[in-house]
Amino acid sequence: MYQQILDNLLTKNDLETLQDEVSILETTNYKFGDDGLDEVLNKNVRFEVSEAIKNDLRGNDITISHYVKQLQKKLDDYQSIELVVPFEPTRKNMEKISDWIRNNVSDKIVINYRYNMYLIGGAVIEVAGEYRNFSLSKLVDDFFDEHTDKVEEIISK
Amino acid sequence: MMKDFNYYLDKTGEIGYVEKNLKSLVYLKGLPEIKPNEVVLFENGYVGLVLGFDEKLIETLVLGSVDVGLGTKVARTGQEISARVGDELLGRLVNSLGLTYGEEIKQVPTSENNSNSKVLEIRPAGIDKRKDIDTPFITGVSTVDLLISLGKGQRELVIGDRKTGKTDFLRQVVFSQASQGVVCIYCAIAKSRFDINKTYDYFKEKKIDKNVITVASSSSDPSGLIYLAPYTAMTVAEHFRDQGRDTLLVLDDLTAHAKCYREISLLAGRFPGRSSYPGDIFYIHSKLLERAGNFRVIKKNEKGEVENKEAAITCLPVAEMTMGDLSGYIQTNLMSMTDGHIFFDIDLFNKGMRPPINSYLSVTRVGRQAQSTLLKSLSSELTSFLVKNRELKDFMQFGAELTEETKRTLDMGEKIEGFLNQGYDLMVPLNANILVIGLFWAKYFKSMGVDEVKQVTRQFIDFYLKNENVRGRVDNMVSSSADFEQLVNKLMEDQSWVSTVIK
Repeated sequence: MYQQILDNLLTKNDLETLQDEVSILETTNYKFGDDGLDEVLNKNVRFEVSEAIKNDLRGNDITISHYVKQLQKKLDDYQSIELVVPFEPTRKNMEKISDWIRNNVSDKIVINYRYNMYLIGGAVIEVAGEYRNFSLSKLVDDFFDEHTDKVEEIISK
Repeated sequence: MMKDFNYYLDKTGEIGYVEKNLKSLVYLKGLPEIKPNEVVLFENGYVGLVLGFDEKLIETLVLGSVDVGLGTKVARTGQEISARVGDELLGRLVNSLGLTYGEEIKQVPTSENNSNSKVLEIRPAGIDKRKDIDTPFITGVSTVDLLISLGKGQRELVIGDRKTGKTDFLRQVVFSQASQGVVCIYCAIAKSRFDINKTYDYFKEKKIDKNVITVASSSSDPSGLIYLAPYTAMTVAEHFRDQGRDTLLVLDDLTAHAKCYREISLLAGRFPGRSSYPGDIFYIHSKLLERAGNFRVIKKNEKGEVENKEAAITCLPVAEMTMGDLSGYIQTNLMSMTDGHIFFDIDLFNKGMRPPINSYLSVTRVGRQAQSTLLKSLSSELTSFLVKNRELKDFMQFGAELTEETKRTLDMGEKIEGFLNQGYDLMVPLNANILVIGLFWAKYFKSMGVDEVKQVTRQFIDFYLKNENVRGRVDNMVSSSADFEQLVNKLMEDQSWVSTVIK
């Protein structure tokens, strides 16, 4: 259960959108009970998410309120990683990166992509306040800082 | 390499973001290894000071006057806040971080960025490094030096209503001490820029600025800088103390500092206590004032030999009262953590007394142990006389007939009060003070009026300051007298030389 929904979570934006949708479901269920579910799923929730929820509810004997609460708990466990890259990643790039993370780190991670062309290459990674700069621009800066004298000598020639 | 934001990001490997902004206070998310009192650097170049944190957010005081936007990146510096210290500050007007006053804070204030800087928050020295107060501290103001004697290393609160001449008195004391080569630090806390410049110009005008450092935070400065100002001033004082030099530290004024801290605490959501001050308001001031005192200093001389010296930080914190109410919260706090207080009476001010110091309501707890036997006996005699004089004045109101004795006492009392009303432009050396009081007891001024006495005493003091022979004679007479009675007897035997000097 939930796997179909969670497999589509690649980015922080995806996570926040899904959390908003789950919140709407929770509120509707609280106000109108099971009667309001179909309308909300058709009007306020994305199609793929709506289908996934309907499949999960069809195959299992649980109430909507319990389903939504469990889904909310699972979403709260997700952690976000900031990834600054020097290009605008496509959906395929994101899927590849997310697959690697799921296989090597954890399956409860989403990525927030930011674009900064001045990195030139590589990436900057931020997780839970930790910051690591693996960009090409930093390597170049470090090189020039270490060899300032030699560079000046070459330029002066 | 320039130590900018990216440098600290790479050095510490941690990043934070601004989650909440309350003007001078911001809350950060991230920075997992942050410590209290650590300096943080914002992406836009502004600097912050970490006050505290919980498991989610870090409370940071911004040391700048611009709003920091939500989502702004923040880097740790890994260092505690420090201020620039050193001899190069002498004669200068600096801000709460030891940098030129009025300049934007572009450099991160840590010891990494400036080798000549010291951490602001340190624990006060223990008892093993302290020494008894045994050297008199001369202010140049007769009322204080004779009746409320201070000692070097004493913390004496200067308390009074607003506009009663406290700052003028303090300038007088700074002038008196700086002229003797003592390093003076005047800390203006939340003062107007006009007052700060007026005080700074006074030191330059009197040509004492080479021994004076002015640490200033104006009322328009960010709360963070106002909060740090007295700690910076104390840190600078400790630097000179460690060199074996006596220092005078004036904190003008701590009630404004308390108000600034209250503002920060209420913004931070701390629970308000009495008069809405936070619960740690006492600690904020006590940890500062405990750093003053008389110390044993161990330093190496040029030959590399260890020298044991004595150096004092004499502290004069200022507290403002309202309507003569000595029982205010901050006022009583400060009175309990100092070694006495000098009370500026608004009634005396309105009667034209300058400085309007009420010696009956002033206290000195440790100054008397630094007095010589002569000064102790003089002080005791003078105090008794003035109390008796006051009682007789009160008795006069009933319109009873006065005896000759009473008239003489009242006459002498009026003349002494005229002498003590010295104004702010006159600095009276201690021995000159002692001799003048001795002359009063030797009845030298018996036939003179109040104005004539004032004029004659001023002339005498002037001669004392300018004429080496006169000075030598007076100093000799004072030092050779075991007590006040002996001095008076000597003056009664021969006082004609005084008339010769004045004429």
